[in-house]
Amino acid sequence: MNSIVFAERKDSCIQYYNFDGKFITDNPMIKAVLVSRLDFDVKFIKLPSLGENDIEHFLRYKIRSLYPGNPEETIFDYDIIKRGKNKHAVLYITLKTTISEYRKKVNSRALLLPFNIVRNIALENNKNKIIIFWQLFWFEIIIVNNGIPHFSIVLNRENGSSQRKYKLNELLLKEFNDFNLICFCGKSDKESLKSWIMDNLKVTRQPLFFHLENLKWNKVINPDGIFRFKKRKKRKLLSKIIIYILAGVAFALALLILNKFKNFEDENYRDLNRYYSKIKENIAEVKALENDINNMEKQLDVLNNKQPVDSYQVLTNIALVLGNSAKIKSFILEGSFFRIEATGRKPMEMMGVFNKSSAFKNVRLIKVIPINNSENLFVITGNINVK
Amino acid sequence: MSNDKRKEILKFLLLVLFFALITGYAASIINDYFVIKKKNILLAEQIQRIIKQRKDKKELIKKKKFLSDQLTKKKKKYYKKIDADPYNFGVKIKNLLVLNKLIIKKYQTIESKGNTILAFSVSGDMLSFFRFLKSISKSDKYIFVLYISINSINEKSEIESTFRVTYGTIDE
Repeated sequence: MNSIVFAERKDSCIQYYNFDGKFITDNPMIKAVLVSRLDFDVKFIKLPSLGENDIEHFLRYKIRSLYPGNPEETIFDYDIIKRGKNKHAVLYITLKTTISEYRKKVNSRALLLPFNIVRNIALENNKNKIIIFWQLFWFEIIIVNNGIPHFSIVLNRENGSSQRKYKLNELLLKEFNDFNLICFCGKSDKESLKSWIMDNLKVTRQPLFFHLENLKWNKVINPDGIFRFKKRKKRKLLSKIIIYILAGVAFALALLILNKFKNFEDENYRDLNRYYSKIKENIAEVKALENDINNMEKQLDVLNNKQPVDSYQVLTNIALVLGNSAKIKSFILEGSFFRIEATGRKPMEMMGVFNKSSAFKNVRLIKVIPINNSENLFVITGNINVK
Repeated sequence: MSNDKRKEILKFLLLVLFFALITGYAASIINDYFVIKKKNILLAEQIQRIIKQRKDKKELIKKKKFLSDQLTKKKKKYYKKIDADPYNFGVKIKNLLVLNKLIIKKYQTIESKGNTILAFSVSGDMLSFFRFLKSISKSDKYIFVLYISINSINEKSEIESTFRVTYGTIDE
């Protein structure tokens, strides 16, 4: 199962190799291709605080001082590493022709460089690390300072080691007193790497080895690989579209909710209006009832005012007031006016009773003529209250 | 100006237009919402006011029924104008007088302002006259005693009385 293979130039032709160094033919099992580090340059740059869109412009400008090639013939790609508030760029630089050659060979498969494979381990913690990526024809050393990739160098296994040995040791001694050594290599190449370490590095700790055969595609590596501008652009566009769609949906949802609130108030208004109309109808009925009642009361008043004086009731009331102590000689009742002529003993006392009675009003003692010692003839006038 | 720049400006303008439209639409919804909400509050307050002032319909119906009964009762005590008959009324009063053993000395019909008034001069016992007045009072129709004079003739409670009566009419 060859999910990742090496690509190396053999007689100016790019060919696939597995981790044992065996040549393999193109097949659909190949998902990603590890390109020759000798064809690419890798640089680590600390970024100033820039917007996402400005980073590319900054790197394009910066690359002129880092890479000696003609800018017209050069192509670069980059990854961003975030460490707290700081950002670092990993720059992959090569010639346009090189990329064309590789693309021709690998088609749409992902192109990888060692850093893409070791990235997760390199950034795992804030320790100092030296990562050696040991390949059939070359090897790359990546120096990680406090968890931030700092420097990368590639050496040719056949002739490069002795030439640069001095420089490498000098560099490492300058960088670190203490470091973890992490090695990536094929199983069959482990011994050769060990002997190179013994010869070239002053190691105080036991190195950590990862076998390339055990690498799991997708789990370790970004599946896009590098130099996949179109795909990345597509993905960026897609994510932009998704953001726009999400924003649109959120906005539409907000409008919908707002509309719902408005509709709820509308419905409420209609209900209130219906209730108001009902109440108004009810009030009209009540008003009609009140009018009827007023009319009836007026009619009743008219009839009550028209009602005749009950002469029997009047005489009964007068008889009650006079009692046995007086005898009526004559009595006149005209409308509500009455006149009594009577004989009796105490007309003044009778007047008191008249005045107290609610059946009479304006009662006056007109005349009192003593008949004998105990009896008087008297005349009383007044009005009747009784209907 | 390059084509790209023109396209960019056009894109920007379209975007601005789109957002302006959307914002306008949202603003109109918000405005409508607050206008309707305010209307609702005012209407609810008005309804509350009306409910507070409104009289109880059931009570009014009850009162109307009571008044209606009263009116019917009262109206029954009057003659309808078309039913009023002065002759019959005279007979009725005479019958009452005779029934109460009162002697009719004089009887006269007077027409005054379209009304028929009956004037009587009677004599008899005081108690009988009282009973006569009582039967007038308890009569099923009102009998209006417009004038009454009672004079005691002697110590035996005999009286002479002059009175004028008429009947009450209503239009319906």
